[in-house]
Amino acid sequence: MEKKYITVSALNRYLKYFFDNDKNLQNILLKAEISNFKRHSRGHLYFTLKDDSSQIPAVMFQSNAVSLDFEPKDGSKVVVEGYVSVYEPIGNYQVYVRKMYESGIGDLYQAYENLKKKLSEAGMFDESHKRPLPQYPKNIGVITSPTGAAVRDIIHIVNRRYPLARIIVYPTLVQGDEAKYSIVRMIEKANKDLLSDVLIVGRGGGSIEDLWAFNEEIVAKAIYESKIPVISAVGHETDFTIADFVSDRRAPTPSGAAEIVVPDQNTLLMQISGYTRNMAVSWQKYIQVKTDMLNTLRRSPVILNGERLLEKPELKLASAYDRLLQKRPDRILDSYREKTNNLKTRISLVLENLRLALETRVENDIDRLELVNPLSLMKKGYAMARKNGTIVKTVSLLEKGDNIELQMSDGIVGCTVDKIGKD
Amino acid sequence: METKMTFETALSKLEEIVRELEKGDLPLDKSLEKYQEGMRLAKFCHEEIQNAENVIVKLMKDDKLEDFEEPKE
Repeated sequence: MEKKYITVSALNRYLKYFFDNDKNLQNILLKAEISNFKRHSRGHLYFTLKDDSSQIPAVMFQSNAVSLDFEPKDGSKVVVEGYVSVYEPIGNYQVYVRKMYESGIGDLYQAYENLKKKLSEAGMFDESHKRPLPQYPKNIGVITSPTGAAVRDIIHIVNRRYPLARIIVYPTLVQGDEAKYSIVRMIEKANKDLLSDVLIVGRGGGSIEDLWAFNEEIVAKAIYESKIPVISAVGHETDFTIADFVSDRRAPTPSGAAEIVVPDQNTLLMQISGYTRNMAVSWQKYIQVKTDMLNTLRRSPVILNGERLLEKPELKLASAYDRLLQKRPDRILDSYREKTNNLKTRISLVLENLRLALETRVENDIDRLELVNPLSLMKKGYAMARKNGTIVKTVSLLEKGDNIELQMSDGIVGCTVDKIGKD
Repeated sequence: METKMTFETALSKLEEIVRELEKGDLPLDKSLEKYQEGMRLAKFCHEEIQNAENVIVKLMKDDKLEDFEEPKE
C-alpha cells in the first residue's frame, strides 16, 4: 500500500492557513507579564508573554513599536492587542502584537474595548443615527476647557475661515474624575438653551488617562442624545475615544473640528461670484429665447401684410355678387347688395380688430422686452413703480393714499399716492 | 421692506434662485424679479463676508453669556 507524504513546508503552510482563518485568533486581547524581552537592531521587539502557568512567544514589529508610550521590560505587566499566527520557518505559533499597554492602563484599555463593544451592539454608533452638520452654522457651541490650547485653536481657525460665525464656549473640566460630569452637564445645557447650531466637544492631546473622560459611558450617552449635531475633537489624530464613535462626526483634532465645522470664506466668495455668472448667463439665454420668439411672430404674414388676409373673403364676396348678378332678380339683388356690403364692412372691421390686437400684443411684448434691461432704461429717467412688490402697470390698481416704491437706476424711492389721473 | 436677513438664509435663497433661473421656465416678470433678487442676494452675501470682522466669542457662565477672554499661549 502506497503512503502519501507531504513536506514540512507544506505542513507549516497548512497550519498557518488554519490559524489565519480562525476569527478568534485574529483579534485577541491578552493580559500577561513580559519576559525574555529583546529589542532587535531594526526596532522589532521579541519577548515572551506569560502568566503563572503558561507562556507564548510574541513579536511586535517596529512599525507598531514606535507608537508605544512606555518602555517595556522583563516583569512589565501588560495588556496586548494583536493576533496569533504561525511563523513557518521554525513552525512555532506566536502572538503578533499590534498595541501594548501597561497593566493599569491596560485595564483602562480593556474597559474601553468592553464599552465600545457594548455601545456598538446597542446601535449607538450606527450611521443611521448620525445627523448632517449645518452647512453655514451661525452659532457654534464649543464644550471644552476655557483655558486650554484647544479652544484657542478653534477660535483662530474659525476666525480665519468664517468670521460670520459666533462661538459660545461652554467651559468644562476635561480631565480628572469630575470631568465626565462636567462635560455631560454642558452638553445638556447647550441642548436646553439651544443657542448653537452645532457643538464641538473635545480637548487637546494627552495620555490615555488624560483623555479618559471621553471614554465614559455617560458622556457617550449625552452625545448620543444631543439634539444638536456633535463633532468630537479629542486629542491627536491617532487617539480614538468612545466619544468619537458616538458623535455625528469625528474630527482628528480640535483644529480639525474648526476646519470641518465652517466653510472657508475664500471658497464662498468664489462660489458667490460663480452664482452671479450663472445667473447672468441664464438671463441672457432666457432673453435670447424670448427675442427669437418675438422675431418669429414679427415675420408672420398677419403682421407683415395684414391686408392680405382680407383678399380671400373679398374674392368670395365678389364671386357671390357675380352669381347673383347672373340671376338678375333685380329687387332681390338690391337687398343682397346691401347685405353683402354690410357683411364686407363687418368682416373688414373684424379683421382690422384682429390685426390691431395682434399688433398690440407684439408691441406689449416689445415693451416687456425693453424692460429686460430696466437699468439702462431707468438711466434715461424712467422709473418702475411697485406696490407691495408687484409692478404697477395701470393707475387703476392704485388708490389715493397707497404706498408705492419707485425703482430708479440708482435706488428706490418710497412714495405716497395723492392724485390719480387717467390719460 | 424685509427684516434684516442672515448670510445663511441669503445664501440658500441665492442657491435656489440660481437653480430656478437655470431651468428658464418662468414667465418674464417673474424671471426678471428673480434675477434682480438673485443679484441683490449675491451682493449682500459678498458684502457680508467682506465686511465681517472678527468672530464673536462668548462664554456661557452661570446661564449668562459673557465676553470670552482668550487664554494666553
